[in-house]
Amino acid sequence: MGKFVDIILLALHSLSVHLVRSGLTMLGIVFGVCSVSIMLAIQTGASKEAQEKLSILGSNNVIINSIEPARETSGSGRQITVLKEYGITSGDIKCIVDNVPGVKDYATVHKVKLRYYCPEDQKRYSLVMGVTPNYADILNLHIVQGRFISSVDMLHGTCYCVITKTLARKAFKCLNPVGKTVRLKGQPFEIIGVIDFIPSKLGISEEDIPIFIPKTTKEGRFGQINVNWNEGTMIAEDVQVDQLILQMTDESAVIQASPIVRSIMEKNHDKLEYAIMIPLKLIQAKAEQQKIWDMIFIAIASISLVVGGIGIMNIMLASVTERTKEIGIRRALGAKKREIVIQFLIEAMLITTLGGLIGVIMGYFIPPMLKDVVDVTPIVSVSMLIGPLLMAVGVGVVSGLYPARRAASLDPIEALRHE
Amino acid sequence: MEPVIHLESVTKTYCVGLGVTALDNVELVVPEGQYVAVMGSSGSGKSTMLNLLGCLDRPTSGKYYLGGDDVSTFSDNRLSETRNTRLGFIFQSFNLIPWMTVTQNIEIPFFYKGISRRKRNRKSAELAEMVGLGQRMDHRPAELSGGQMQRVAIARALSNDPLVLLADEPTGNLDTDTGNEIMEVFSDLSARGKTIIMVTHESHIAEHADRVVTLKDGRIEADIMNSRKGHHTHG
Ligand SMILES: Nc1ncnc2c1ncn2[C@@H]1O[C@H](COP(=O)(O)OP(=O)(O)OP(=O)(O)O)[C@@H](O)[C@H]1O
Ligand SMILES: [Mg+2]
Repeated sequence: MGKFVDIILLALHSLSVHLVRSGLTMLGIVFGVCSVSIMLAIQTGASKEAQEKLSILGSNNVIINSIEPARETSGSGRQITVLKEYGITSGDIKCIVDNVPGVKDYATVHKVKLRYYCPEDQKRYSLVMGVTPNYADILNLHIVQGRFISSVDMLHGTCYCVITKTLARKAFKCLNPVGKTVRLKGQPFEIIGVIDFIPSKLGISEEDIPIFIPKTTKEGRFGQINVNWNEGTMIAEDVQVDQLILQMTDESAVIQASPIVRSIMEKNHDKLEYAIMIPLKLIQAKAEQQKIWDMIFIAIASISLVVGGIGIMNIMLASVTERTKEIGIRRALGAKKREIVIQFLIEAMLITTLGGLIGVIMGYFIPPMLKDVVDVTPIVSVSMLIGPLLMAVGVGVVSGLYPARRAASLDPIEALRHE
Repeated sequence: MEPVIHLESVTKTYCVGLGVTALDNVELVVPEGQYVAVMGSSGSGKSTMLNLLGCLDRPTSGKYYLGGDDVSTFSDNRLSETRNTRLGFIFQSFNLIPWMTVTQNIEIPFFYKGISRRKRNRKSAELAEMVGLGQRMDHRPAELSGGQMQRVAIARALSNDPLVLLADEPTGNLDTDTGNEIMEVFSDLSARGKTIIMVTHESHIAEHADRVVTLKDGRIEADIMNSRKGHHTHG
């Protein structure tokens, strides 16, 4: 036992005498471990961010949009008035809500394109969306300022509106627009809230300049029929509901509901004047894609782990092989194989563990600093650091031990001849 | 009385090319307290024989009895113990560990014998003193002259009071004066009864010995008791 302590002390002594060699070996391990940890952190961050972006769509939702059906050109004569009547009806909604299991809530949207005007911006067209108050909740919209439309607004049909951050920035130059007025088709609407952004895939984008108003206000002020003039033809569109967003209790309910919703819609409409969208399926497809990226990244990380391992192996092999003569001298003076192996094992373990720990500490603190450089928020977890640490210590110990064992197994005279 | 060393038709063949027979059926008996000089031209197998005697190498065939024990039956650990406590080896190129000080080098055999740190320190200081390096105890080998390095090696070889001291051209890397100083140390040790086997090229060094064994092509060509010391020709 005393001898074991002696050998530990000898290993420490040897390391302290060869400061430069030990230091360089350690440096190799530090960088190997650190770079792999950083890479893993960035990858994990990127993967998580991608996943979050997808989940904004709401994996529990089923979205049905009204679309204008392909129309058989009716007759030849220039019609002065065209009435288009299509899309989701309130009958559909009732039918779906009554028959589809697992519907927790639903929101409806009624759109109209209107000129809008506010003192700070020139006149433009906006997509005015008459929505129910639960719209923001169901779509997980993030409210940056003020509040969203409430059921009281809905009840009274107030002239309140909610705009997007982009519009707020463009039209009000970053000032807090809550309380200001926007004119929609000449009618004043008070801004009560600002939302962060609109999830793409909802069929609307920032360019459409969406402005949200209570559904009842939309119907009361602008009517259900939207009228457009096109080359002297008046086109009246009568769409009861532009978009129906069903919020299901959970993902399995979504899977169950989608064929039922589809068959109800098929039964109620003989033309294809609706489109059913299931974000969950999109999310799943995206997740598949992300998995491929993750796998590529893991492959790269593994390769760099192997490369780092080879680097460590090289350093350890060289620095131990260099000491074959010392091993020969010790053997000639009575060291047993085991005693040589223990000495070099301890040296290798001390160097690699210390180097590995420094690398892991750096790997823990550096990734958060890279946030702005790599444009994602790297995520560090302890479990992620254990892999590279074990790799470094394992490879270091094995590749330090191997030449030591080999040299200790030689007849002492062979080891002594080594220069 | 058992001889300290007994080689019984020992052969050593190196498997290089067609095979080199470095030692060919060598018989050698060395009684306790004898000072043997091994001579012979270069390549005659002197080092090979000494390495076998020092258990640094193993014979291809034949038997080696050290203090009556058949070394060929020893396990690797037992061989290590034998090198540690019963043999002292001195090399032409000193073979000191460069990053350790004089006393640290001297105490290596103590270390592997399992002697406590304190005792090691005391005994290695004594040995350093004995070979005249009392003032150099904390020096590294690189800071010593050749003669001083060889003294460290001698002190190290003596540390566990071995049965036999083996030296392979201990003065080979030294100038004549320093070489003579080292030879004095060996004569001294011999006078105190230590069994010594030393390889040398120079006949004036061999004169210090009780017996001169001459090798040629791996065979013992001559084995002469030094008459100056009052012995007769042997075998
Ligand atoms: N490791 C080895 N592998 C192959 N052949 C060897 C080896 N060591 C020695 N020999 C051969 O064995 C023979 C004896 O070598 P040895 O070293 O014992 O000679 P020596 O008498 O000590 O010579 P010198 O006086 O030059 O030191 C030589 O022919 C040498 O070439
Ligand atoms: Mg030789």
